[in-house]
Amino acid sequence: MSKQNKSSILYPFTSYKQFGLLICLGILLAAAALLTPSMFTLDSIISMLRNNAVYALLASGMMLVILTGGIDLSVASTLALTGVVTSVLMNKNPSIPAIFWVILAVVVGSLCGFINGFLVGKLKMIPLIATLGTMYVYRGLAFLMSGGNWLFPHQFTEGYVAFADKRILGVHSIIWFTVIVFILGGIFLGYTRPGRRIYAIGTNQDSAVISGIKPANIKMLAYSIAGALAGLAGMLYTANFSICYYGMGEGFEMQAIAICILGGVSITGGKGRIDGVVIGTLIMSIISYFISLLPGLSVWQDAIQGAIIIIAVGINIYVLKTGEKNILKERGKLI
Amino acid sequence: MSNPKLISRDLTVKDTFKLSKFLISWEMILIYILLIINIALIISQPSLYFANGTLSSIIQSGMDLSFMVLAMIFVLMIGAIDVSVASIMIVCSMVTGLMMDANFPSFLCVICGILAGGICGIFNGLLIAKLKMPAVIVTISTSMLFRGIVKIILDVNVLKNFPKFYSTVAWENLLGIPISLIFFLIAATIFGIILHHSKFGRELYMIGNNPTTTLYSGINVDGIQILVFTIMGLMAGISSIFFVGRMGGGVSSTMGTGYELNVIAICVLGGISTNGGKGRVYGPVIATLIMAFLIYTLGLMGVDANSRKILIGLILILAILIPHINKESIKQFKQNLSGKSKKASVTK
Repeated sequence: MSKQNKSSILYPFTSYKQFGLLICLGILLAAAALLTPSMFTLDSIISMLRNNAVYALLASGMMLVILTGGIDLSVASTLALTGVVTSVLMNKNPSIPAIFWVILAVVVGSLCGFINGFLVGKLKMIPLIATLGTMYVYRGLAFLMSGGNWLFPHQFTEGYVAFADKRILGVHSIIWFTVIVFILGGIFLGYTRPGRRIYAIGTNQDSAVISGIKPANIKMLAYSIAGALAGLAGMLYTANFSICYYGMGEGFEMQAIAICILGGVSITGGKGRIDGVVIGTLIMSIISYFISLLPGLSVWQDAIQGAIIIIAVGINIYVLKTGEKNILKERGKLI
Repeated sequence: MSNPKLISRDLTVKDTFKLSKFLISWEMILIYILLIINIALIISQPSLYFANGTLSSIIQSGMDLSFMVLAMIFVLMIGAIDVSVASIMIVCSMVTGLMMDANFPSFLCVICGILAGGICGIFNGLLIAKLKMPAVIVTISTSMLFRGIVKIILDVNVLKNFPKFYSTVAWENLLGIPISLIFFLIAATIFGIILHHSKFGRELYMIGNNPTTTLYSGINVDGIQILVFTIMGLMAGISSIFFVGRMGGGVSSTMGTGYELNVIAICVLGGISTNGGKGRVYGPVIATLIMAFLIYTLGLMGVDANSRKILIGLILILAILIPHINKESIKQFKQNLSGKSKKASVTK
C-alpha cells in the first residue's frame, strides 16, 4: 500500500505529518482574506506575530513537558514572577546593561522550572498537582516581589524595551527570539541525545529505564527548559508591552497547552514536533486576531478558546485511535 | 502473622482495631493540626476567640466550597480530576439569578440552577468517559468554556435577585450551630455511607485502583465515570447556594476564580490520593475545617489574599509529599531490614 502512495506526485505533501494542520491554516487564511482584507498588510502581520510571540515561547517549552508525558500549569506564573523580578530590579538599577536582565530572567525561570522538575522527577509527584501548587506559589511570590504595584511605560529603560521592540531587518526582535527558539528547539529535539531521550520517556517510560535512561534527570531538564523559556517570555512580555503587574499572563498556560494540542502534540506524551507548534501558534494567532477584529466578539474569547481546545483534543484522540486500529488491522493481515 | 511465609499472602480483610495505629492515622493527624490552630488562636486572640459568634463565623467562611469537596472526593477516587467546578458553580448561580429576574417561583429557580450544574457535569463526563479524553484537559477547557458562556450572557452586569433563604443558610445559626455546617455534616454522612458502605462506593475504589480490571469484572466503568462527574456538577450547583449567600447575593462573571484549587487542595490535604483509589471521607471533612480556620487566622494576622495563595500552594505540595516520603522511607527501611536478615541467614 505504502509503495503506491510513494509513487504519487503529492506524496511529499501528504506524507508530511502536519498536512491536515496546514490545510486548516490555509482555510483560516482564506477566510481572513475574505472577511478582513485589511489583515494582509506587512505591518498588521508583524504586529500579530509580535503579540503572539510570548505564547509561542511558552508553547515550545510546554511541548517539551508534554512530550515527557507531563503538564506544566505554572508557566504563566513563572512568566509573571520573572517579569516582575526583572522589571522591578531594572526600575531600581537603570544603569545596568539590559542584556543582564535577559540572563537573569532565564536564570530565574529555569530555577522555577527546576523546582517543578525536581518535584515531578525526583519526588515523583503527579505533574498536574505539583505544577498547580507551584503555579499559586510563584504567582504569590510575584505579588510579594511587586508589592502589588504596577510599573508603567515611563518607568522602563530604553535598553530594556529595545529587547522586544527594536526592529532588525524590519521585524521586531521579540519575533527573532521566537524564531531562534524554534530553530534551536528543532535541533535539540531532533538531533541531540537529551532531545531524543525526551521522546523515549514520553513513549514508554519503562522501556526507557531499561535502556539506561534516567527519567528523573531528563524530566528535570525538560521542566527547567520550559521554565527558562517562560522566564525569557516574561522578560520579553514586560519589555514588549512596557507594563508590569503581578497578575499578568493569567491563563496563558491554557493558551500554551492549546497551541501544543492544535499543533498535534499528543497529550499522552511522546508524539509531536516543533513545526506543529509553529503552525499551531499561527492558527491560534489568526483566530485571536479574528476575534479582536470582528466587533462584539471580545466577550466570546474564553468560550471560543475552550471550545477549540476540546475539539482539537477530540480530533487528536480520534486520529490516534484510528491509527492504532489500522496498525492492528495490518498486523492481522500479516498473520 | 508469626509464620514468615504467610506475610506476603496475608488476606485478612479487616485489621483489628489498634489504638496506636489509630492515633497516627492521617485523619487523627489532621485533627491534631486543627487543635493546634485553635490553640494558637486562643493564645494569640483570647478575647476574640471566646467572643460570641467568632467560631461560627469562622466555620461559615469555609462552608461555601465544602459541598464541592465532597463530590471532588469521588472524582479523585476514580483517578480523574475536575478543575471546572468553580466555573460550573458560577453557571448555576447565573441560571438561578436569571430565572429569578424572570419572576419564576424561587423553588423552581434553585432546582434549575442545580440541574444546570448536573448538565455541565454530564458534558464533562461524556467527553471523558465516551471519547476517552484526559480529564485534566477536558475540565480545563470546559472551565474556560463555561465561564466564557457566563461572560457572554452577563457581560459586565451583576445579578442581584436571589431567593431570600440564600443568606439565611449561609449566615444564620440554629441553636448556636451554623446552618451551613449542619447541612454539610448531613451531606458528608450521606457521602460517607455511599463511599464506604455501598456497592457503588466500592466500585469507585476499584476503578481508581485499576480501571481495566474493573471493566473486565463486568462493571460499567464509563457509566460510573459519567455519574461521578454528574454528581460533581450537582454538588457545584448546591454549593452555589451557599456561595451566593455568603457573597451577599450578587453574582458577576469573574467571581469564584481559584476555588477549584482550594477544593482540590482540601481533598489532597484530607488524604485523598490524586492517583485514585485511596482515601476516606473523614479526612477532607476535617481538612475543610482546617482550611477555614487557617485562612481566617491568616486574615486576622493581616496576611493578604495573594500571600495566602502561596500558603495554599505549599500545603498542596507538602500534603502530597509528606505521606509519599514517609512511604518511601518505610519501604527503604524494610528493604534494608530484609536485606540484612537475608545476609544474616546466608552467613549462617
